Amino acid sequence: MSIMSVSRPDASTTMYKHFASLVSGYVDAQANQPLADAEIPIESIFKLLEMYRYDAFKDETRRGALALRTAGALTRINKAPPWHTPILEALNSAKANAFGADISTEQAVLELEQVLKNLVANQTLEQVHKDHARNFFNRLGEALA
Amino acid sequence: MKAKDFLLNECENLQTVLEETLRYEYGIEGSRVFYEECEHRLSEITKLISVTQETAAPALSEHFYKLEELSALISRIERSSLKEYSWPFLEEFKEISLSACTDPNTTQLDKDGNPYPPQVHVLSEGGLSSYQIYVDGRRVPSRRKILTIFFPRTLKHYVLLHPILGHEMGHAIYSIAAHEKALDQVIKENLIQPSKYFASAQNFTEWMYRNPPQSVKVFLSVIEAELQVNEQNILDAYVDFAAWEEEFLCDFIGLLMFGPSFIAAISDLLYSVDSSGSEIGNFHPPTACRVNTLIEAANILGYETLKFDPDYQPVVDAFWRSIHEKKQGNEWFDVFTSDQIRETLHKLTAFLGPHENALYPTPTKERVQPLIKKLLVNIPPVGYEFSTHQVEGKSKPHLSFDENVDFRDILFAGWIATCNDVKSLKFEHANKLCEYGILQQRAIKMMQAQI
Repeated sequence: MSIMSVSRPDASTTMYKHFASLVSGYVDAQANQPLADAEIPIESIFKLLEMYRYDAFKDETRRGALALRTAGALTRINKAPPWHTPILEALNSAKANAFGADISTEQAVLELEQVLKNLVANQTLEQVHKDHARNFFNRLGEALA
Repeated sequence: MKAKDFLLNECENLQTVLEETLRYEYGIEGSRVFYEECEHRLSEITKLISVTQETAAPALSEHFYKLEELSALISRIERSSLKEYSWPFLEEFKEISLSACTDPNTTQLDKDGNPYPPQVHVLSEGGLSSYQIYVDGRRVPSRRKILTIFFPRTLKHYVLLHPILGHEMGHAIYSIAAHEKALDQVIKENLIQPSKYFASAQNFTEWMYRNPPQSVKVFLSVIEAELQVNEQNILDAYVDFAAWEEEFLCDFIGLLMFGPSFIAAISDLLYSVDSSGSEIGNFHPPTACRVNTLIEAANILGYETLKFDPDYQPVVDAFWRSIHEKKQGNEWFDVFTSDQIRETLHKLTAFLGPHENALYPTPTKERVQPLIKKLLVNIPPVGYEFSTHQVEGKSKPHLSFDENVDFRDILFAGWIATCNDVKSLKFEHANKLCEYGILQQRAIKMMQAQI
């Protein structure tokens, strides 16, 4: 038997807040200067944007094709509030802040994803895209508690 | 020691463990990629902990679990160094599955601008229920995805059962955000919304409680007595219906990737766990609903109508009879119509089609019958033949071999050869012969690549 019971936090708010802050800094980094240790923060934010783009936040890794249960191990499920609710709110707020109210999520995300790809490829960013990205990631970091 | 210091100390411990792993070879590609990926992940988690205030308990707890996940991943990969699995099966499996579970949208590209495929590591442990694939979640701080595949230690060479991993690969494909969206749409529009049982919560509870078979009534009474689950709260307190949808989806993907061997493997394994087929799972639909759906899907795909020569048709017929014996006759378990299943297959075929080798090509007599013929006389279904022939009066050695045999044809033939009462080949023996066949097919591919 386990020596303690813990309720696992089903959130990644702190991580995304930190990564948003880092990525915002990368946007203003000098062009043609390789970013050290930036791959994971950038890829993690990229994957968050993909979830936002497709409204695909399940992120459960269900596994085990055989629905095994041991005798007497029937359990109720605990339908907790979705993990992404505060993160989705922060993403919406950041989008409105950086792009205004009229842009589609798809359009905003594609522009931000291209910025991230350019950062990894060490390519120059257009000023307007820099401004959008900086505003977006700054606001995202602020909005995440 | 304070919580934050303890976690930072654990980061150092994990770094030491990681250094030790460099001594071993994990997988055919070696350890370097795995080591670098894990080192990057550990470095990011360490930085996250370092910038977190000691008083920020929820954040520290969040980081604790990220560290735990990484630790568990490293442990799994460490155990993969034992190489106790059927590697020829695995190599073939990777060829049909890696394209579909490679995320096309990523910042991590190789020198040609293509996304990296996931790193795959394999281990064996436990028994029947061990078949599974661990996939990095989207929230795991990572550069590249790592999959760890589990084979049951007791069944590590039972290649005829391994097609069940096709279902698991469905979960891996679904773990990509763009695919989740597309696949949800396929399942909802073609299977769930048109279903008279699943279109709404009310339909679901009416199906479940109005006139179920006796075995289901018994199960429902047990969960009511033990868990206070009833008609009013079953969808809130017991059944995660979104998970059921994903399970149906992954069954379809397994069938489309592996063909008849998938349905043979999954029905044997599922009924070995739940012989009544009536258990209602939190995350899994009743076995009988899944198997009945797959049998109808196999029929729609035309697998059963494939005709063989008169010498072999009886053994093929016997195989399909053995499959149909697993179909539950009570219509309660037939939760989808033929049209719903056909449309779903059609859409999923279109989804998988662009991914190289992902779809099992419709089997033909020409491909499968020669394999059955060899198996029934205890010969591995694929191999080399050394003979001599006369050239200008002299005897010259001649080598002939089977070319381009799809390992899924070998598995189909293996099931036909063993799963019948006409010419019985022991199950264990059929597995060995098929594994040798797949191994020889790998060798032939290597030889052809050298020519």
